Amino acid sequence: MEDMAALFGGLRFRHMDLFRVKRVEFILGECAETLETLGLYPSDPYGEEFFE
Amino acid sequence: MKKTNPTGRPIVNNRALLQHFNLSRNKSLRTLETTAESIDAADGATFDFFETVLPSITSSAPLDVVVIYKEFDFSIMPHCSWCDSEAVRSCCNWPIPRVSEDVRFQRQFRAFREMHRVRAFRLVLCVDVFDCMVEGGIEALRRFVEAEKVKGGLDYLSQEPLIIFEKRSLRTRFVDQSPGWSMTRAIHASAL
Repeated sequence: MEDMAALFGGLRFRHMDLFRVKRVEFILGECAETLETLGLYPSDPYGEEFFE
Repeated sequence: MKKTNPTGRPIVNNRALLQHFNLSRNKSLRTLETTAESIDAADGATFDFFETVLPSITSSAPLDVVVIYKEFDFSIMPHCSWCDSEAVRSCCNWPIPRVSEDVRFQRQFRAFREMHRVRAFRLVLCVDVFDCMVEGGIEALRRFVEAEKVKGGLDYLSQEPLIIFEKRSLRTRFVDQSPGWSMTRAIHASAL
Protein backbone atom coordinates (compact mmCIF):
# COMPACT_ATOMS: atom_id res chain seq x y z
CA MET A 1 0.00 0.00 0.00
CA GLU A 2 2.84 2.36 0.85
CA ASP A 3 4.46 1.54 -2.50
CA MET A 4 1.28 2.35 -4.33
CA ALA A 5 0.95 5.66 -2.50
CA ALA A 6 4.55 6.51 -3.35
CA LEU A 7 4.08 5.54 -6.99
CA PHE A 8 1.02 7.72 -7.44
CA GLY A 9 2.20 10.52 -5.21
CA GLY A 10 -0.39 9.73 -2.54
CA LEU A 11 -3.90 8.31 -2.44
CA ARG A 12 -6.89 10.58 -2.90
CA PHE A 13 -9.93 8.33 -2.90
CA ARG A 14 -13.32 9.93 -2.38
CA HIS A 15 -15.22 6.67 -1.81
CA MET A 16 -13.90 3.54 -0.14
CA ASP A 17 -15.37 0.24 1.01
CA LEU A 18 -13.07 -1.17 3.62
CA PHE A 19 -13.55 -4.90 3.82
CA ARG A 20 -10.81 -7.39 4.45
CA VAL A 21 -8.29 -4.57 4.38
CA LYS A 22 -5.26 -4.25 6.58
CA ARG A 23 -3.39 -1.00 7.29
CA VAL A 24 -6.69 0.85 7.50
CA GLU A 25 -5.16 3.73 9.43
CA PHE A 26 -2.66 4.36 6.64
CA ILE A 27 -5.34 4.41 3.94
CA LEU A 28 -7.61 6.72 5.94
CA GLY A 29 -4.69 9.06 6.61
CA GLU A 30 -3.73 9.18 2.94
CA CYS A 31 -7.29 10.14 2.00
CA ALA A 32 -7.74 12.58 4.87
CA GLU A 33 -8.51 15.52 2.58
CA THR A 34 -10.63 13.75 0.00
CA LEU A 35 -12.65 10.93 1.54
CA GLU A 36 -16.39 11.61 1.44
CA THR A 37 -17.97 8.16 1.69
CA LEU A 38 -16.69 5.26 3.74
CA GLY A 39 -18.14 1.75 3.82
CA LEU A 40 -17.56 -0.04 7.12
CA TYR A 41 -18.49 -3.61 7.88
CA PRO A 42 -17.99 -4.65 11.52
CA SER A 43 -18.66 -8.26 10.52
CA ASP A 44 -15.47 -8.12 8.47
CA PRO A 45 -13.36 -11.14 9.48
CA TYR A 46 -10.40 -8.82 10.06
CA GLY A 47 -12.51 -7.05 12.66
CA GLU A 48 -11.66 -9.94 14.95
CA GLU A 49 -8.44 -8.23 15.87
CA PHE A 50 -10.39 -5.41 17.49
CA PHE A 51 -11.82 -7.73 20.08
CA GLU A 52 -9.82 -8.55 23.17
CA MET B 1 -11.11 -16.15 20.53
CA LYS B 2 -13.26 -13.24 21.67
CA LYS B 3 -13.64 -12.56 25.36
CA THR B 4 -17.14 -11.76 26.50
CA ASN B 5 -18.57 -9.79 29.37
CA PRO B 6 -21.22 -11.25 31.75
CA THR B 7 -23.98 -10.34 29.28
CA GLY B 8 -22.33 -12.43 26.61
CA ARG B 9 -21.33 -9.44 24.46
CA PRO B 10 -17.79 -9.48 23.11
CA ILE B 11 -15.45 -6.99 24.71
CA VAL B 12 -14.30 -4.50 22.10
CA ASN B 13 -10.75 -3.27 22.31
CA ASN B 14 -11.56 0.42 21.82
CA ARG B 15 -7.95 1.47 21.77
CA ALA B 16 -7.08 -0.91 18.93
CA LEU B 17 -10.24 0.02 17.09
CA LEU B 18 -9.61 3.75 17.28
CA GLN B 19 -6.02 3.29 16.28
CA HIS B 20 -7.26 1.84 12.99
CA PHE B 21 -10.55 3.68 12.50
CA ASN B 22 -9.78 7.15 13.79
CA LEU B 23 -11.77 9.31 11.38
CA SER B 24 -10.90 12.66 12.96
CA ARG B 25 -8.49 13.45 10.12
CA ASN B 26 -11.06 12.89 7.40
CA LYS B 27 -12.51 16.38 7.21
CA SER B 28 -14.61 15.78 4.10
CA LEU B 29 -16.40 12.68 5.35
CA ARG B 30 -20.13 12.95 4.72
CA THR B 31 -21.37 9.37 4.46
CA LEU B 32 -20.82 6.15 6.35
CA GLU B 33 -22.16 3.01 4.74
CA THR B 34 -22.74 -0.33 6.36
CA THR B 35 -25.00 -3.33 5.91
CA ALA B 36 -28.07 -4.37 7.85
CA GLU B 37 -26.29 -7.69 8.25
CA SER B 38 -23.52 -5.93 10.16
CA ILE B 39 -26.00 -3.97 12.28
CA ASP B 40 -27.87 -7.18 12.92
CA ALA B 41 -24.96 -8.95 14.58
CA ALA B 42 -26.65 -10.95 17.30
CA ASP B 43 -23.82 -10.48 19.78
CA GLY B 44 -24.27 -6.70 19.92
CA ALA B 45 -20.67 -6.09 18.94
CA THR B 46 -21.75 -3.65 16.24
CA PHE B 47 -23.10 -1.27 18.88
CA ASP B 48 -19.66 -1.08 20.41
CA PHE B 49 -17.96 -0.74 17.05
CA PHE B 50 -20.00 2.27 15.98
CA GLU B 51 -20.14 3.81 19.43
CA THR B 52 -16.37 3.88 19.31
CA VAL B 53 -15.89 4.98 15.71
CA LEU B 54 -18.70 7.53 15.25
CA PRO B 55 -17.50 10.09 17.83
CA SER B 56 -14.15 10.25 16.05
CA ILE B 57 -15.87 11.89 13.07
CA THR B 58 -15.16 15.60 13.43
CA SER B 59 -16.13 16.63 9.91
CA SER B 60 -18.41 19.66 10.05
CA ALA B 61 -20.52 18.35 7.15
CA PRO B 62 -23.86 16.70 8.00
CA LEU B 63 -23.38 12.96 8.24
CA ASP B 64 -25.48 10.34 6.46
CA VAL B 65 -25.41 6.77 7.76
CA VAL B 66 -26.50 4.48 4.95
CA VAL B 67 -27.68 1.00 5.90
CA ILE B 68 -27.79 -1.43 2.99
CA TYR B 69 -30.46 -4.12 2.91
CA LYS B 70 -29.94 -7.18 0.73
CA GLU B 71 -32.39 -9.85 -0.39
CA PHE B 72 -31.79 -12.00 2.66
CA ASP B 73 -32.72 -9.16 5.02
CA PHE B 74 -36.37 -9.51 4.05
CA SER B 75 -38.52 -12.52 4.82
CA ILE B 76 -41.25 -11.88 2.26
CA MET B 77 -40.28 -10.88 -1.22
CA PRO B 78 -42.21 -10.85 -4.50
CA HIS B 79 -41.77 -13.81 -6.73
CA CYS B 80 -41.83 -13.71 -10.51
CA SER B 81 -40.94 -16.00 -13.36
CA TRP B 82 -37.65 -14.22 -13.84
CA CYS B 83 -36.59 -15.44 -10.37
CA ASP B 84 -37.11 -19.04 -11.42
CA SER B 85 -33.99 -19.11 -13.49
CA GLU B 86 -31.38 -21.48 -12.15
CA ALA B 87 -28.80 -18.72 -11.90
CA VAL B 88 -30.96 -16.53 -9.70
CA ARG B 89 -32.07 -19.36 -7.48
CA SER B 90 -28.49 -20.48 -6.88
CA CYS B 91 -27.45 -16.89 -6.20
CA CYS B 92 -30.37 -16.37 -3.84
CA ASN B 93 -29.58 -19.36 -1.70
CA TRP B 94 -29.15 -17.16 1.31
CA PRO B 95 -29.24 -18.36 4.90
CA ILE B 96 -32.52 -18.38 6.78
CA PRO B 97 -32.44 -15.74 9.56
CA ARG B 98 -32.34 -17.15 13.06
CA VAL B 99 -34.80 -14.64 14.44
CA SER B 100 -37.99 -13.12 13.06
CA GLU B 101 -38.01 -10.06 10.84
CA ASP B 102 -39.80 -8.04 13.54
CA VAL B 103 -37.15 -8.83 16.12
CA ARG B 104 -34.32 -8.08 13.72
CA PHE B 105 -35.75 -4.67 12.77
CA GLN B 106 -36.42 -3.80 16.41
CA ARG B 107 -32.81 -4.66 17.16
CA GLN B 108 -31.63 -2.53 14.26
CA PHE B 109 -33.72 0.49 15.26
CA ARG B 110 -32.34 0.17 18.77
CA ALA B 111 -28.83 0.15 17.32
CA PHE B 112 -29.55 3.26 15.22
CA ARG B 113 -30.72 5.08 18.34
CA GLU B 114 -27.59 4.08 20.26
CA MET B 115 -25.40 5.18 17.37
CA HIS B 116 -27.20 8.51 17.07
CA ARG B 117 -26.66 9.11 20.77
CA VAL B 118 -22.90 9.41 20.22
CA ARG B 119 -22.97 11.19 16.84
CA ALA B 120 -25.95 12.81 15.09
CA PHE B 121 -26.66 11.68 11.55
CA ARG B 122 -29.39 11.32 8.97
CA LEU B 123 -30.59 7.74 8.66
CA VAL B 124 -30.66 6.42 5.09
CA LEU B 125 -32.04 2.94 4.42
CA CYS B 126 -31.03 1.49 1.07
CA VAL B 127 -32.82 -1.45 -0.58
CA ASP B 128 -30.09 -3.05 -2.71
CA VAL B 129 -31.79 -6.07 -4.22
CA PHE B 130 -32.69 -7.73 -7.50
CA ASP B 131 -34.93 -5.78 -9.81
CA CYS B 132 -38.13 -7.68 -9.10
CA MET B 133 -37.67 -7.41 -5.34
CA VAL B 134 -37.26 -3.64 -5.06
CA GLU B 135 -40.93 -2.88 -4.60
CA GLY B 136 -41.36 -5.46 -1.84
CA GLY B 137 -38.19 -4.31 -0.11
CA ILE B 138 -39.26 -0.67 -0.10
CA GLU B 139 -42.71 -1.64 1.16
CA ALA B 140 -41.20 -3.70 3.98
CA LEU B 141 -38.88 -0.88 5.04
CA ARG B 142 -41.70 1.63 4.89
CA ARG B 143 -43.82 -0.64 7.08
CA PHE B 144 -41.14 -1.03 9.72
CA VAL B 145 -40.26 2.68 9.69
CA GLU B 146 -43.91 3.66 10.08
CA ALA B 147 -44.37 1.17 12.93
CA GLU B 148 -41.32 2.56 14.68
CA LYS B 149 -42.55 6.14 14.18
CA VAL B 150 -45.90 5.27 15.73
CA LYS B 151 -44.06 4.00 18.80
CA GLY B 152 -42.03 7.20 18.92
CA GLY B 153 -38.89 5.23 18.34
CA LEU B 154 -37.57 7.67 15.73
CA ASP B 155 -38.29 10.87 17.63
CA TYR B 156 -34.59 11.44 18.20
CA LEU B 157 -34.02 12.02 14.46
CA SER B 158 -34.13 15.61 13.25
CA GLN B 159 -35.04 14.45 9.74
CA GLU B 160 -37.24 11.68 8.39
CA PRO B 161 -35.33 8.51 7.52
CA LEU B 162 -34.64 8.38 3.81
CA ILE B 163 -35.45 5.20 1.92
CA ILE B 164 -33.53 4.69 -1.30
CA PHE B 165 -33.06 1.77 -3.62
CA GLU B 166 -30.60 0.25 -6.01
CA LYS B 167 -31.99 -2.06 -8.65
CA ARG B 168 -29.75 -4.91 -9.64
CA SER B 169 -30.26 -7.03 -12.70
CA LEU B 170 -28.84 -10.43 -13.41
CA ARG B 171 -27.03 -9.13 -16.43
CA THR B 172 -25.10 -6.40 -14.67
CA ARG B 173 -24.65 -7.43 -11.09
CA PHE B 174 -25.20 -11.18 -10.75
CA VAL B 175 -21.58 -12.11 -10.08
CA ASP B 176 -20.87 -8.91 -8.22
CA GLN B 177 -20.80 -9.82 -4.55
CA SER B 178 -19.22 -6.56 -3.48
CA PRO B 179 -21.02 -4.53 -0.85
CA GLY B 180 -20.92 -1.43 -3.04
CA TRP B 181 -24.01 0.39 -4.23
CA SER B 182 -25.02 3.48 -6.04
CA MET B 183 -28.02 5.64 -5.45
CA THR B 184 -30.57 5.57 -8.23
CA ARG B 185 -33.58 7.04 -6.52
CA ALA B 186 -34.47 8.35 -3.12
CA ILE B 187 -37.81 8.37 -1.37
CA HIS B 188 -38.59 10.12 1.87
CA ALA B 189 -40.25 7.71 4.27
CA SER B 190 -42.93 10.28 4.96
CA ALA B 191 -43.82 10.50 1.27
CA LEU B 192 -44.47 6.80 0.84
